[in-house]
Amino acid sequence: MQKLLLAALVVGAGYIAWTEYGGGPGLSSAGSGSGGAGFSKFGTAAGNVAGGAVAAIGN
Amino acid sequence: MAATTGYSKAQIMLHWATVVLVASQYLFHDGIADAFEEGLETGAMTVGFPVVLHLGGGMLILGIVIYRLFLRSSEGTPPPPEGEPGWAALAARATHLSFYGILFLLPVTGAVAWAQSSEAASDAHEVLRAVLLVLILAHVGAVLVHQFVWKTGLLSRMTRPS
Repeated sequence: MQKLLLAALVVGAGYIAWTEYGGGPGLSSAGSGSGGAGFSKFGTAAGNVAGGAVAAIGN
Repeated sequence: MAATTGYSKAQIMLHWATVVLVASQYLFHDGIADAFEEGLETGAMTVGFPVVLHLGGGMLILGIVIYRLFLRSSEGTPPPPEGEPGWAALAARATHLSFYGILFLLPVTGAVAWAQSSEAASDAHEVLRAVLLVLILAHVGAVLVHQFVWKTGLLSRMTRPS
C-alpha cells in the first residue's frame, strides 16, 4: 500500500514537473495538440526567470 | 506546542486533501491562465468552469492551510524520526515552513491578480508556483530517501494516525 502511494506521488510530481517545464501536454490542453502552459503562457519576465531557474535545477 | 508521537487523523486527512487540491491546481490551470490573458487584452474576463474550479480550489487551500497551522499549534507535530541526520531535520523544518508560507501566499497573490487584473501579483503567483514545485519535488525526494535509504518508515506517519 505504501509503495503504491509512493509510486503515485513520484509519478504525479514528475508528471506535473513535465507538463510545467518539460513541454509535456497538460490535462486541460490534452487533445488540443498544444503543449503545457509553462511560464511562456503569461509571458512575464519574472515567470521566465523562475522557469529558467527550475529548468536549470532540473538539468 | 504539545508533544506528540505522530499526526492526528485530521492532520493526515488535510495533508492528503492539500496534495489532491494542489495537484489539480497545477493540472487544470490553463483555463484561468487563458481567461486572465484574455482579460488583460480585452478588459473582460470569461468566468467559466475552469476559472471557478481554480479560484475555488485556491480558496479551499488557503482555508486548509490556516486550519493546519492551527492544528500544528494545538496538536503539535512529531519529532524528527530516529535515524534522520541533523541537517535533514533542519532541511525538513525549513521545507515545511516554506510550504505553509507559499501555500498561504499563492492563493492570496492569485486572488489579487484576478480581482485587480494585476500583472505584478500574477508574476508573483507564477514565481511562487515554480518555487512550490521545487519544494514538492524535494519533499517527495526526501520521502523516497527516508523510505529506501534511511528506512525510517516516515510515510507511515502520514497514513496512520497517532
